[in-house]
Amino acid sequence: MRLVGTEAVALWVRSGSPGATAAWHPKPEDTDGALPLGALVDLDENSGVAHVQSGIALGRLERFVRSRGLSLGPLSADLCRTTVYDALAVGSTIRPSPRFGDLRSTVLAVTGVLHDGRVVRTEVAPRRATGSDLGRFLLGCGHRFGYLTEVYLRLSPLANHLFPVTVTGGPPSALLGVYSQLEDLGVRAATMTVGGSRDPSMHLTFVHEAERDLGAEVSRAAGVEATVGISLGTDRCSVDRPIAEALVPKPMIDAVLSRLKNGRVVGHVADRWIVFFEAAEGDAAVREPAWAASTEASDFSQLEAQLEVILGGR
Amino acid sequence: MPTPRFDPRAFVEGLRADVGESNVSTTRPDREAYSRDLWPRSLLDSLSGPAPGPMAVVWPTDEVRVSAVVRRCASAGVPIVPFGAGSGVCGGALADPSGIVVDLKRLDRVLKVDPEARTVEVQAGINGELFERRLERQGFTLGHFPSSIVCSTVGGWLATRSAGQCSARYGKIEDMVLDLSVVTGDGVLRRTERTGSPGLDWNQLFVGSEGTLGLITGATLALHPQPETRCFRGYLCRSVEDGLDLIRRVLQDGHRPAVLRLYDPLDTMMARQKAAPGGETSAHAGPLKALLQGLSSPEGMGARALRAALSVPQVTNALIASLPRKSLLVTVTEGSAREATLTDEAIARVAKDLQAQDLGEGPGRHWLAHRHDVSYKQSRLYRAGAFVDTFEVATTWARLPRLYEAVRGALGLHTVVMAHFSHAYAAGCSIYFTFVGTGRDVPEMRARYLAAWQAALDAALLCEATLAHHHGVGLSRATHLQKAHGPAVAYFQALKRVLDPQGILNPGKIYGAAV
Repeated sequence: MRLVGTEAVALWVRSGSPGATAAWHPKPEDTDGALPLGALVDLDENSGVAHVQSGIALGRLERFVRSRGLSLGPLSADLCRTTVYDALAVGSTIRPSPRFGDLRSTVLAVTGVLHDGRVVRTEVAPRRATGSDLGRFLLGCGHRFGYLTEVYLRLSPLANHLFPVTVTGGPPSALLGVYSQLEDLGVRAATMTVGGSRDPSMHLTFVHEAERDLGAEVSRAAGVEATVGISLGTDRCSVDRPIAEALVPKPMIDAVLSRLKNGRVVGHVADRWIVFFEAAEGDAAVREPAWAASTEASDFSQLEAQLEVILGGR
Repeated sequence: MPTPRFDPRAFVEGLRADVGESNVSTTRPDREAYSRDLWPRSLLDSLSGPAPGPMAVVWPTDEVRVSAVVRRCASAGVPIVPFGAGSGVCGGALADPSGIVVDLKRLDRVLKVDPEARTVEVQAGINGELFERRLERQGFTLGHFPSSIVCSTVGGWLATRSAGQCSARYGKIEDMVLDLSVVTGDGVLRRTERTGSPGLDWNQLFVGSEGTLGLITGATLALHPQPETRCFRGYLCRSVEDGLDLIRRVLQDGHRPAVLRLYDPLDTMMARQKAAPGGETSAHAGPLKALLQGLSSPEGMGARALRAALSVPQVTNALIASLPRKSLLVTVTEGSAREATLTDEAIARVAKDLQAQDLGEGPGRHWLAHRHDVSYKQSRLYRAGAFVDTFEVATTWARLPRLYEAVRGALGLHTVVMAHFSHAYAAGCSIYFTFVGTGRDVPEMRARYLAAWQAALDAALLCEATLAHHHGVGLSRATHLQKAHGPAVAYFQALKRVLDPQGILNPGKIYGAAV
């Protein structure tokens, strides 16, 4: 089956067997001369919006938009083979940036195919505006509720340099306190990592040199060490894939960090202090965190199962 | 729509048992007061007589009682219209005569402020202004300041995807919500997981659902420290296009001003006249002077002048099109002293580049002092024999000029139109149209009003824009929204089947009665 676009996926779903659709995954690379769902459909440079098919690799997309002075954010340079589908529909871990957000926050609109073959589209808008955000059915749920085929992503102006500073000499709470102070001053780092017990340090990069210098100044005022680095060309930024991740409210960060040997905090969703962790080998304990019990969230899994049946996913 | 299959008297007695005698009313004044929100179409209709109102009004005092009321209604098939403060302008809280209104204002407690995590747990019925004052006393702000803040509730904000006047810095309400407590149509109280968790994001399904999927009873919201400083500024841009370019460049550069508010030429003239009555802008008004006077003082001579100008909307709009093209941009930056100043300076640099005239602090300070005034002029215009309504749409920057012209042209066939741009983001912006019209009698006014809405919605649909930005959908845009969302409505239908199996929650709102 050679798929070339949303309509082709719709045709395929209408005529396909459930067994075939169960293994559906848009492909980024050419396997037999075709390029299934891997295209950049349109780039609106004025609005900073890329319209892409879901099989496109983030690395390929980033390389292209960089040539036009835009970027998905400074963290995606090395995500060569992770596709938009992996990142958004499946929910593969992509490190978020305090300044630029996580990839899901850059989604302006989605197109997908329901299990009965109907094509669904949400409006292309800077913010959702009317009713429930129905596009969420295609984000983070694999293809339980349909097949994500196209996405509009918000881009940012390309930062040509990142200015780093490393903060050391205090417990994680002191390091994070420095970061909170910087946020209160209106400074948001492009990247932020805080090491676990084996690397008790905070590494920050900023888009502006003045922000880096302020970062150092605030750190020293707080009684911790700050080492200012030279600027990095963003083409040299690299990102390694996390082994595990977790969402943790800010007050529990210390507790989590004390359990990490090799892992580190790798950023947080702007303004919310829900941190993301990279856990390394030997840090498996963080997969079953004690803090999970502290949430009182109702179990929505039964409701989701009912939705899946109604929408024909199984 | 479900048909009640019960004895109404016994049903109301049951409600009294659920929530207490004093928390249920079937009196005529209460039923009339809760018959509608501030949807201008309802106001027009009310000129011909009061609406029937709901069967009863209920004021539960906690979530358990909300749950009991919903269970009772579900078992009897009685529709429920949730009610916050009734300031909606789309008919989202229009009562169903066969159902009840559940007013959530008695769920008004701030449950917990967590200074470390910078979050607040709050019940949904709290008044917006009182909530913000409570936060202010503890050194925080939600950063959400809709013009209805004194007559709206947190639950209403969440149910309609509200935006505040500082949305450029703090985002819309959906950007602030971390989790929700919701009583769904089966009467079950559910608490969603934190935003950002993997899987289906239930928060963003309940936010904006206008009571059709559940009654939002509480929320955890993100907080910000109170700003240390504010900087105010006004710029006179050479044109609307220049002003929009300025806003886009500032936001795409990563700055977060609190307010970026751009007025089109007529709105600019009105804003500047209010700020400096008799000033230079009056001289440009010429034949539009009567319209401006009528809009600002719609009584006596002003009312007659207003009706005369509104009776020939196409002529008046043509005169407006001949106004000087200059557009006023009001800016407010806030935060730490450093950030507010740096952002103010960044805006100034772009403004200079675009040859915008710096008007100093005056326009910004004037806007802050009078930012709620316009919301309370509606009744005076109705008394003058006119109607007024607003239509807010949004799209990406590249599509914005086409949308502006299309909707303005569509509304301008039937009404006099002005617009401003007050909610902008890196990728796009909303347009806030205000349109004013008249007719020889109520039926003609109603016909013009409906024709203007139909034309405007058609135009926005054609431009693939959103059919609202922060007012919600209610009944005013329901039919068009169904067209706009097409097969995606299947998701909403599935949600209704799962969360509201009896179809009792705010029937007909958002997608119309057929969905």
